[in-house]
Amino acid sequence: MAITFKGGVRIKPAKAPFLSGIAPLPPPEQLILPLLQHKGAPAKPLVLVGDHVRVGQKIADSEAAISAPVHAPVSGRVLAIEERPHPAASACIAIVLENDFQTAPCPGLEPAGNLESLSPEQIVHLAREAGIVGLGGAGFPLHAKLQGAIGRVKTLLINGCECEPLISSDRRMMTERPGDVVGGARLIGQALGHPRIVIGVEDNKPDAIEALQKEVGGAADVEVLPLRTKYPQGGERVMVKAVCGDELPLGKLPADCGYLIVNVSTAAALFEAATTGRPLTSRYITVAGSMLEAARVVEAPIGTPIAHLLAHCGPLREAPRKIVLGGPMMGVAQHTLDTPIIKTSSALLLYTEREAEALRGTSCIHCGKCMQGCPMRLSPCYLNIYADSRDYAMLEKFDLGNCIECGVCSYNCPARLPLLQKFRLMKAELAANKRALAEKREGAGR
Amino acid sequence: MEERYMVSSPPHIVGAERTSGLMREVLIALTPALLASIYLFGMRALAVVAVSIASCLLFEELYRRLTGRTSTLFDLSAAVTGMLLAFNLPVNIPLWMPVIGAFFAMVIVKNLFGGLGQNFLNPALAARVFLANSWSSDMVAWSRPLLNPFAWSSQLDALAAATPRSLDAMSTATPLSLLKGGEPLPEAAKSAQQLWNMVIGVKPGCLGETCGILLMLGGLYLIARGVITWHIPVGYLGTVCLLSLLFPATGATPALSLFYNLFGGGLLLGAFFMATDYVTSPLPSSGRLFYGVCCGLLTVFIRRFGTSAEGVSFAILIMNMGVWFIDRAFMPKRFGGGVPQ
Repeated sequence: MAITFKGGVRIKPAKAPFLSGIAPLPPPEQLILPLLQHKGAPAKPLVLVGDHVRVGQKIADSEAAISAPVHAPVSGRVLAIEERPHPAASACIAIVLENDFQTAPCPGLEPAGNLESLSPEQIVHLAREAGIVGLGGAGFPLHAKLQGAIGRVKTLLINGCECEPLISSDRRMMTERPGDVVGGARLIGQALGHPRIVIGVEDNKPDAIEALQKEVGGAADVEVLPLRTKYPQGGERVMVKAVCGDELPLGKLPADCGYLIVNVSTAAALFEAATTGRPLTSRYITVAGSMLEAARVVEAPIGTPIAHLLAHCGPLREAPRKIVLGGPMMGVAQHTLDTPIIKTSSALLLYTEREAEALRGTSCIHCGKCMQGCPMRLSPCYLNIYADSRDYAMLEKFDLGNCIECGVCSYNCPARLPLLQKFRLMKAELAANKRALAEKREGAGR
Repeated sequence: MEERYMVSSPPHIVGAERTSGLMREVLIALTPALLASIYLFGMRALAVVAVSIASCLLFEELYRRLTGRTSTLFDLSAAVTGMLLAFNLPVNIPLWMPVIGAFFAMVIVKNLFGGLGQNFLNPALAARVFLANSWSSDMVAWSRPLLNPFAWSSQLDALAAATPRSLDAMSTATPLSLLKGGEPLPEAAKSAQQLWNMVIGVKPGCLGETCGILLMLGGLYLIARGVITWHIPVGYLGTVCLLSLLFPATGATPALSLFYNLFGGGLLLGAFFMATDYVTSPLPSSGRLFYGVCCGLLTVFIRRFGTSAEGVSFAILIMNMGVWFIDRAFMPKRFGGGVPQ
């Protein structure tokens, strides 16, 4: 029996043509590098307007434990340090670089040498200095993740599920550079004290599974595990449940339960940094949409504006009316083409007016399809009632906090209710209420 | 001016299912039984269905208009209620009665409680019970199938009007009332021909409930299409079958008792189409199974100990009222351990 979890939804794959390999992208003239491309504290600029920077130079960093530095993907001049559109926040301070198309790398970016002799601390340091964050979309700084997990992990899950439809960035990473993926997985394993390593891949990517298996060969330290194709197989808690049967409780880190989950592209980025000295300054991004002749995966420098990427993805049969960074299930719609690609941008999706249109819905008919699909065993149908009446106590009782925001309930709902949208709003309100209450208590205690 | 793009909350794609699509599936699943009914009872069956659906649509639209709300006819739920209401009426019912039933279902049971998704009783069943209690003789004027789809069986009305009901040659007892009589079943009622007739619908009963085999087919279609899950029908039918086998009616063998309970009345229509109504059935799978079992228990109790031979309507309506509590009692276990308080 295929390894999987209960709930979720099988989403039919798009039949549109897809270019093979990695499509070329001429470097952009201007790059926008937000100081926040990760979970945690924003980095602080290390350069001034007018400074000249070289390829791979660290241009922003932070003292905070949970943060990650930002590096210059190209050589050039700092044009501005100012607020620019951000893919997830509405705006964020960014360093704007003007590309001078020189390729001279920044001095001091050296390979790490003999990888097997690296200590856990050295590997953590390497991840930090290379600015590596979770490339699957969460953006949690890798060094912080590793630091908290050294010696506590029994099973390291390398996440190659890529369960959102349309996205193929991780798949290309696994087929084009399986050596980097497996090498990165081993390096992380080395930092953690050699736990069991499992690379989980959805079974709709047989090419990726084959490439990885070939790379691993007969070695016993890494296991390549096909998982049934079902959304959201790649969710952290969902994947642990499917592979190991354990349910991570709300509020606990995977490492608290002996697990660590790292995306395949994140592992590959670590390996690349270790073997070449290059920090994380580019990523694979899928560009797809019905108005394109073919979808493709592009290696784009971090900071590339959407407009530049679009201009080099072939003619558009129709002007897009909705532009999404990330997957169709969890991505964020963008209001402008000036927004840059950041470290966590796995896909750029284009929708026509008709595709983006909201459909006419009905009231809830109590069909239970939201509940059947919820991988967290929630009752979105009832949460919907309590969200409408803003009954915070009942929302907590019905476990709203356990929602992983995968969007299956909204996807399944025949009444077309914006369930996920409501739940996100309610989670924000609950958190705000808690903060207010805590402040009040603090005030009273004084 | 700079181009502006649409923004919205994820997900940016949605599944193919719509409320209207699910309702259409139910109508499709009921169509074979409807055709059988026309074959069995004549064109009058179609007339009852048409009047019932038309008046349900009319009352729904009227209510929405008069209260200043948007039209909801597109969701097809009113059409499903109309179809199910007609399926629960005898074919020779006066044609004004489905209109009264439709008013009760759409206005009193459904819209006064807030419209689609808000009613706590199955509208078609509540209307049937309302009609049965208000015009009880018309609601039990069962006619024998004519097996002539082109006959207009309203001729029977004239016949029935001319003769006292008890003497009406065309008006007859349903198989369930035979079983309920407490007398041993007559030999004719045990013949293979008679049993086969019950399976294919050649027996007296409500116009949509007689053709058991096509109702089963329709129900399986709904399960295969993912419109309903198996839990309620299996729980319901399984319980009735088991109890009929264990405690056969007086004068019948366990096998006959099971067969008469399964095919003799409205059980299949109830288990596949009435008890599975989304709005008035529970959400969790285990809750649905429990609900089905309870419906089965109540049906057997009412058929055995109640005054009426049939018990499906009341069993389902009573269980409708427990849905909220069943949902709460069968809430799934919290992910990651612990139980929701």
